[in-house]
Amino acid sequence: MTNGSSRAAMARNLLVLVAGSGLVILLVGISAIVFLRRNAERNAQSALAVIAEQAAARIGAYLSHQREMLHALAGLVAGIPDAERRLPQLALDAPSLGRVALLTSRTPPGELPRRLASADIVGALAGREVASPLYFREDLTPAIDLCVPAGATPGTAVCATLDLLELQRQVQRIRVGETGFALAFDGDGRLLAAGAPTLRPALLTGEPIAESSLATKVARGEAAPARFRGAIGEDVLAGWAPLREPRWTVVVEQPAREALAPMRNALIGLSAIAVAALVVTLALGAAQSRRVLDALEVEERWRTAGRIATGISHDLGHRLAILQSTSALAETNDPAYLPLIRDNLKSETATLKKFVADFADLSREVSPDQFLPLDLNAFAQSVGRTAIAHAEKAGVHIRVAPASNPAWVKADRYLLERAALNLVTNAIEASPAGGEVAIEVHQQDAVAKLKVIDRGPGIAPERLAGIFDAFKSTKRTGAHVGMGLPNVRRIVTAHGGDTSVESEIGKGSTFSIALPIQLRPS
Amino acid sequence: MRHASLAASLVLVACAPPHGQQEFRLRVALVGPLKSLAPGSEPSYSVYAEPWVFESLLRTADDGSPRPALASDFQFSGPAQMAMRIRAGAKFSDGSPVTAEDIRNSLRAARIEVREQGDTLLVESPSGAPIEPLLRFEPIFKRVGDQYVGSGPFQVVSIDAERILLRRRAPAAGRITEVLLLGFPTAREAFARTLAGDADLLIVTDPKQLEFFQGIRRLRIVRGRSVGAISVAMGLRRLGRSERRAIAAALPVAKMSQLVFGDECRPFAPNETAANPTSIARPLEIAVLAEDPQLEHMGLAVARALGSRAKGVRRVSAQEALELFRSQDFDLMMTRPLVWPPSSAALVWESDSPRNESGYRNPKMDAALKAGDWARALQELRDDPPAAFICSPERLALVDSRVKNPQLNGDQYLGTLPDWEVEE
Repeated sequence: MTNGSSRAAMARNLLVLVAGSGLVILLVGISAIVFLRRNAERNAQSALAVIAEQAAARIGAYLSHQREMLHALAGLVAGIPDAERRLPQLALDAPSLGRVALLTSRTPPGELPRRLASADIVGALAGREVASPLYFREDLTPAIDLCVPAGATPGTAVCATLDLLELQRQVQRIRVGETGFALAFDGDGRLLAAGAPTLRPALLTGEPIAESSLATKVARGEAAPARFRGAIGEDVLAGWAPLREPRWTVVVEQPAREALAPMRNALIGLSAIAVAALVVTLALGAAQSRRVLDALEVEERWRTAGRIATGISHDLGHRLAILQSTSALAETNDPAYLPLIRDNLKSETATLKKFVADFADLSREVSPDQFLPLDLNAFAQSVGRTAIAHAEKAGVHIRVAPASNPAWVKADRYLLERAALNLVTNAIEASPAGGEVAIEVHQQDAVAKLKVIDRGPGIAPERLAGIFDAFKSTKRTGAHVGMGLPNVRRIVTAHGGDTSVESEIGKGSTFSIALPIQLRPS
Repeated sequence: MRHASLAASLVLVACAPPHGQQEFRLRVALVGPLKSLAPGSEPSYSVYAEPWVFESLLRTADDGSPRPALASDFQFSGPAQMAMRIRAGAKFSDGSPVTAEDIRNSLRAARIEVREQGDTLLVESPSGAPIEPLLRFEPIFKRVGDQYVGSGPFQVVSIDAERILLRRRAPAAGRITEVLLLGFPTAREAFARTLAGDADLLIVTDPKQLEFFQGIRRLRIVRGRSVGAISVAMGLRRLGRSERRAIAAALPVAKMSQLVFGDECRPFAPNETAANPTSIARPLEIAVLAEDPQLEHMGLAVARALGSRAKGVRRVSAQEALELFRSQDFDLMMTRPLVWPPSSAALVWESDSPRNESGYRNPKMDAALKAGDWARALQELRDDPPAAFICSPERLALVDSRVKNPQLNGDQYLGTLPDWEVEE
């Protein structure tokens, strides 16, 4: 029992060690995954923001250039009639300026820039630069009306319908990965240009899209989410950059599944490595444990073999000594010894026969596929009947107490009977003449128990612990070489059951065989 | 009972579409309200569908020559007379055969007479005006009650101001089965809805608009030869022949078309060197259609070419433009008249043509037309020009990518649609 316990403890320690290593690897892997995920999302958003900033810078530069060009042209205006005739033709040389015209207090209402409010017109004539919100012209190109003061002619302005198709081109040209795109919004969240074809109808209808609220927040300088459900119908990561004048926002976004694909691949790789490390650790640990346990097994076998050799040599030596004494008695040719010689030979032959039978039982295989339903009550009665002859010879009474209901188990009847008879025989031999051995059957939950109870001297507590181990007989004399109880345990364990013993010095012992209850056979 | 079931199943099998044949519906985005396709109906954008329902006698081949449509075995014995047979088996959508009487009734408004000589029909213009251009455009129809039926491959299934559904009369494997014309309130709405995937065909009026469709694989850009030209009409009531000639000579058409359209408008007389417009007595006002930025830009180019002889560009509404053109009481106006094939001159400028809206009269050109000498007719037209022709912009449309061979080269913008093949 000591060796078995140390072996189990060692196996347990090894298991804890291996599991601990695996847990460490797992924790490191999970931490790396969390870190990688957070970092990847942050990096992707930063990259998108950089693209948005570059786009915003380009758009800003383009608008500045258009404005400067108009200022330069306005500075060249010398006289009203000449300007009225020449300015419109500038649209041919600078198509991006769209329709260019001189604005004076005499300009007919039908010729005024259509998207400028009256206050803006007044402001333009008073020498202020004014601009309309972006709108889409009849030919569906985006435009803004812009008026700048005409240099040498107070009270006049040069107005242009800036063609912002280039803005749309710039936004449409931005591609991030396979499907990432850019959007441009005004300060109210209205879509001005869209890289995603599916969102372009909103340019013309003016309907807000999912990103409109983000653009409004950015224009107001408020915090905006960097990951959200985009207008394209899936989770997107976004970076943005505001323009100062006009107050537009450029948003660059990419579907999260695509933006985080490299991270996902890295995670898959990392997970695979972590799992592989875990598997290798467990496999190496298991292999190493098996080697250690095998070594212990070999050592244990040698110890067992030693115990067997000691037991056999002790028991056979004892038998040999008796037979030598008997032989010496026979050599005297004294007829008075004949009864003793006969008894000795008879006794020793029986002992050796029992010895051989015990070993034969040890070698008998237990095959669960040969188990049959067995009523433990009837079985107990049968065992009692078989043991009566031996009990009567020892002057011991056998009492059988079945359970109140049939207790069905599945068993190899022969082997189970060998085990039960072993216990009953031990009990008879431990009982004083005139004593009683009880064979009781009990049922509790899903377990049926066969108890063999004697009122003998009992077993010392220090011997109880290893009583079912080989060569640990309590008697160590006569035919008991210590193979009976280990064989009982072997047979019962093979039946899916368990053995136990309770004993008290001076009061007797109770050996139990517990077996799982089976359904009553139909 | 068993016989009845068998008969019923046979009928069902007979009525079912052939195995593997799939129906293909094409949705065309137009600006509404849509009106009837019947000849003489109020003008509307549903006119694009007219040639699918109402055939004409002739159509134009890619080289500009006439090809049979409803007419077969046709032969011109002069510009004003053609002998023909009715295409064998030609029937209207109500199942009745196309007769000489139907053709006579259909061409009466165009002042063309039809006589029968055995199984041959003689189609002629009593005035001697060339008939070939008219026969390419005049629809042949039959009035059934208060309805008009045509002999084209499609017939009208249902019609209202927002939707017209046309269905092919006889199954044709790998072709469009149904066409749904969608009349949207504005051009912008038609455009936006096509972008959104609610329509499969959109006529594009400005190449810039194609920018919106970058990256949309559902639609393909289709280009075709235009039969019209961006032109400077010269008011016949205000400008005499010499002034018109001087104006036409002063316009560097190649430079102007390049300036306004880049390479997207095929210029007339590309090597021309513009003359100095000294014979123009007074500064001229240039009227442009307010809703057509291309014409407006070309108006500016004309103003630049004329220099101090140009007074400025005036934007006018479509209605105003039509009235001005009919009255010819304007200086210059940007228009898009029909110019191809060359015989079209007879349709637009011939004195007696029912489609001569300007009232232009040029006896020498009329004589050339009546003689069938298109080259001389064009020469006479240039000699006494009612308009200066600048360039022919491409026809443009966005068409469902599943259509394999869309073409826009016919007499009419979408005239070849019944022949388009589709992926099955």
